[in-house]
Amino acid sequence: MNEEKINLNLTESPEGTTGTGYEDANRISWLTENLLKDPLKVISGFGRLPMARLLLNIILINIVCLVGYGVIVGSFSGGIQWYMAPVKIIAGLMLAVLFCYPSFYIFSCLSGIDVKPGTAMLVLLAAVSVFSILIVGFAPIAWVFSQSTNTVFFIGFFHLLFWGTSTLFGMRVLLKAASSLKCKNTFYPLFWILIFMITSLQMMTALRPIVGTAETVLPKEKMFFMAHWSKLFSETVDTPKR
Amino acid sequence: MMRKPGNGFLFSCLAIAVICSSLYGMSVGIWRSPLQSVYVAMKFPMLILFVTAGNAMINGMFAKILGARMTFRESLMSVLMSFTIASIILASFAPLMLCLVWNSPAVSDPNSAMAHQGILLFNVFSIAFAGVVSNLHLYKLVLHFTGTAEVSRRIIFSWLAVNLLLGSQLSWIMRPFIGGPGGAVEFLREKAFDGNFFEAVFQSAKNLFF
Repeated sequence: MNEEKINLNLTESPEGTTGTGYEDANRISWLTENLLKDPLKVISGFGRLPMARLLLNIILINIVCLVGYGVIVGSFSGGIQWYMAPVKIIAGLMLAVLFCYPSFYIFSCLSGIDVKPGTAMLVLLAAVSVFSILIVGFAPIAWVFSQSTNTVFFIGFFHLLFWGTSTLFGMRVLLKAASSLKCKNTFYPLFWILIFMITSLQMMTALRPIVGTAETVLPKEKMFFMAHWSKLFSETVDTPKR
Repeated sequence: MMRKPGNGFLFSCLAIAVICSSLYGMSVGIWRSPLQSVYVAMKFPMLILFVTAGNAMINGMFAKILGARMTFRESLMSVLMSFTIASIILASFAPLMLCLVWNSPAVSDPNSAMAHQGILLFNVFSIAFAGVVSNLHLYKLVLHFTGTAEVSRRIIFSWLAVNLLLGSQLSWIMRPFIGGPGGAVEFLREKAFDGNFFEAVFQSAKNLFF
């Protein structure tokens, strides 16, 4: 793990970025590349870069990537799912972030990290961006599977696999950031990651169907994600693709 | 050297504990009905304040008997700070509780009993987690006063025991918090002072095993 120590609470001074590797920081390509290559560089730049521009770029990256992946998810069923799947994926992830943000900030403080609420939100969004960038990388593979599979459970399993892998890498950014921010107790970030994963899984269940079709846009019956997946598993019937 | 906290700090802790526990209480009661949510938002801070005030004297005495160089005010502040930390953690769980309520069958649904159990379980988990974390912080604070881990552990254990004793009975008197699907929406039960928490646990165990 990178042991570089970073300071999040610097005063904003965009003019102070010359010669520090942040000259192109306003560009989305710089942000995307560095979120993957060196997320700590992005996070340590929060104090030096123009916040509004950075936030806008992070949101744009998330929206573009999630729309891209959502369209692939929607291609399994077609029809209204072409646009409903991206909308639901974005809404589900953003709701999960909002529900989990208060505990994220409190847990950060409890683990000994000196962070302000706004910066905590940016760190969280940076981690979510890594997730979004990675998951859109899985889109071609997901498309191949969605074109050759008829079963909702089977394709759903693959999406879960891609979702889980991307989440682990996204959350690894949080752990790296926590380590660099002198986190005294890694139990809190690890426990929060578990909470976030459960919440985001539940949000995707609450907004179903994202894969497959249903009579209504939102579910009539409220279910916990474990119950939903075990029901899908027990049904295991071939579903018409289109 | 630790700076002695003034009245401002005491009132800040009180205000934070009241606001945060109220927020959590609101999220707990909302599943049953909006009115229940208002009731629980009032009852949760009351429960914390009653336990802190009710045990202030005995907690202070235990601290002295067990060898801590703590004044009565310092022991009261320490316990209040621990409740404040617990309340902050609980408030951070309020959105998650709301998410759970949103995803649970409504009170009118035939599966509402399952939803009630789920909310109850999450509530127990949240309070247990907040309690453990806040007491770990309290332990560090008491260690500062005593200087020895053994004495600190004894003090924390004695405080936990009396807080649990009074807290469980007060929460029994102040029930309902979540509000069962078949129960009425009310601030306190009609016979709030009938029975006690431990008697109910004993009866449940007796019914289950004998």
